[in-house]
Amino acid sequence: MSTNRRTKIYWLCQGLGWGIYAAANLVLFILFVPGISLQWKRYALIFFCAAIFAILTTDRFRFFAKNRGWLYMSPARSFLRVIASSIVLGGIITAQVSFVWLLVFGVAPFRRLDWLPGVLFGWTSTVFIWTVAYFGIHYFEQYRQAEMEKLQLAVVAKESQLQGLVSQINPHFIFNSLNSLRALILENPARAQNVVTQLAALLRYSLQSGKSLTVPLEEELEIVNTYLQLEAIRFEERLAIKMEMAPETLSVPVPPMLLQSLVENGVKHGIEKLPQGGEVSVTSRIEHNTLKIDVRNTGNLAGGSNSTQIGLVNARERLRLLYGNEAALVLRNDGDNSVVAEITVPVRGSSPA
Amino acid sequence: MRALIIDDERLARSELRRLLKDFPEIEMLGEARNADEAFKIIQELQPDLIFLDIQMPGDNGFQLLERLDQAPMVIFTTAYDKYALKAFDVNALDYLVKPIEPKRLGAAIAKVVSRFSIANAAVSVDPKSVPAIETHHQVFVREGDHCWFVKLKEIVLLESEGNYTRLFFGPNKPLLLRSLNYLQTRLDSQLFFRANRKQIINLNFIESIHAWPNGGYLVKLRGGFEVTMSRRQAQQFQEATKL
Repeated sequence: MSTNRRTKIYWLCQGLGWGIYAAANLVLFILFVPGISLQWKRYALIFFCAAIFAILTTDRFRFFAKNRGWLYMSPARSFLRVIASSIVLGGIITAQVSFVWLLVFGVAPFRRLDWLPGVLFGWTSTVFIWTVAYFGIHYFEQYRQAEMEKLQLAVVAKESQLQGLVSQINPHFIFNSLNSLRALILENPARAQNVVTQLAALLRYSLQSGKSLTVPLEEELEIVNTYLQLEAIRFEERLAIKMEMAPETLSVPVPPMLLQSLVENGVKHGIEKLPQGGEVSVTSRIEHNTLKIDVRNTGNLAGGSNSTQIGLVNARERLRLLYGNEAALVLRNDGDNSVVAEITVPVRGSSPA
Repeated sequence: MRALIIDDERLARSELRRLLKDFPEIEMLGEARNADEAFKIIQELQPDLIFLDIQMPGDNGFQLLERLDQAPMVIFTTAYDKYALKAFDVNALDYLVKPIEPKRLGAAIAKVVSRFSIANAAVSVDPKSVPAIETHHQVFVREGDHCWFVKLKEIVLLESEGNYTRLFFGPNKPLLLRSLNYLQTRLDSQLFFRANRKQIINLNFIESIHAWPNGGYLVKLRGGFEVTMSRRQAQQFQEATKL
């Protein structure tokens, strides 16, 4: 809420509140105090003045309390101050109103002051209600603000957590590719040029992957293909590739670099370890409104090295943050000489939460 | 120096081979694509120097070195994981990150060549060529995160531990994946003596010898080691060392 708007609302409340309070008092006087209905104009003047005094006095108090920082004290600390201020303010307003009374009705009522405690108590309790309301509103707003900040913080934390979980291209791969590239420049310049563009595409995609929560599977697949072509330069005949993607899966949004990291894992733990090499295959299909992607590589899950586990744990955590329990990632042996990573991602109309 | 390149990537091998053309002191023996190939070639051709990629299919570079009875001089080549080499004493080895900088390659070769000529000078004094591991040679030992290239003449004591053998040198005592009996057949008997069933000692490290009442010996080695010999072993010891 802007300060300007807050000020407007404040003055509106002040005017309406005290106006209604004064009017109601006037009506009660005229209805229930006998013999004053003829003088109602005098009473109206007094109550009008009383409303003005109350508005000005409480406004001064607001200024004072704000300056002293009372609004940011804990309720326990501000409560005694609220009570004391109410008594003082009640006294001030009573004095102001009494002065008008004196001007309107003369000194006669002041010969006997038996009305004074009642009036004093009336103003004090009214002002007390005012201050409690004023402080209450402030406390409520502060509380709401804090809640909102907490929420925003949670969102930011989730985002940065998600970004941290996005896997980056394996540096080992980048430097190996650069090394191959150095050899290719002499051996096959046209191919070397190709490799430079492919590496650039891969690096760009990897560096930008933190920026969007999801990308269409098609885009991710393009980068997986680029990556595999680059690996093919390193592994030559040792790496065989197979892709079988159902056409309806290509537009489904998926987290960037997730499939890529699993394919990289497949190459690293499958092909790279095998002197004879092997095959990496990616297949996708839609089943019961969920997207299923399988990444299969030659090899065996033998105990599993730590690096895979970290990558896998991160990928799972990322899926959980994005989709809750609707997504899954399973890594298992499939037969004697094949490892499969199965991704399950819900298909939604738009992008996920 | 006769050198061998070991790397699983054809392009990496040809790149290194091309870079090495500028160094006439390196005579290229060949290339190996993995640890098994490399093991055979090393056994057969006994290269003085190997350029060794750490990450390879099958056994990695470290595992290859562990399989060798004696390690040639090694220059590691690695794409990225310098950290894998942190465990080494920096002076003990050289590594190159890929793509290899010709200047760094030159510096590494110069270092290896100077060490090689010192070692060679030492060998040429020794006229006989025994099948045993020559004493200036080094073995590669790895334990946990730590790796060592240990010069045999620096080993004080070898102690049997089941099928393996613990080496004592300096403050270190890693386990070598060889039996003591096997090592005895490979070690230079001029320098190493089987003191008892469990221990082989380096004669150069003997500090003092004490006669024991049963006719045996108590041998004190530098570094605070004490080794006992039975009477029979003591006699052999006398013969071997001509005490």
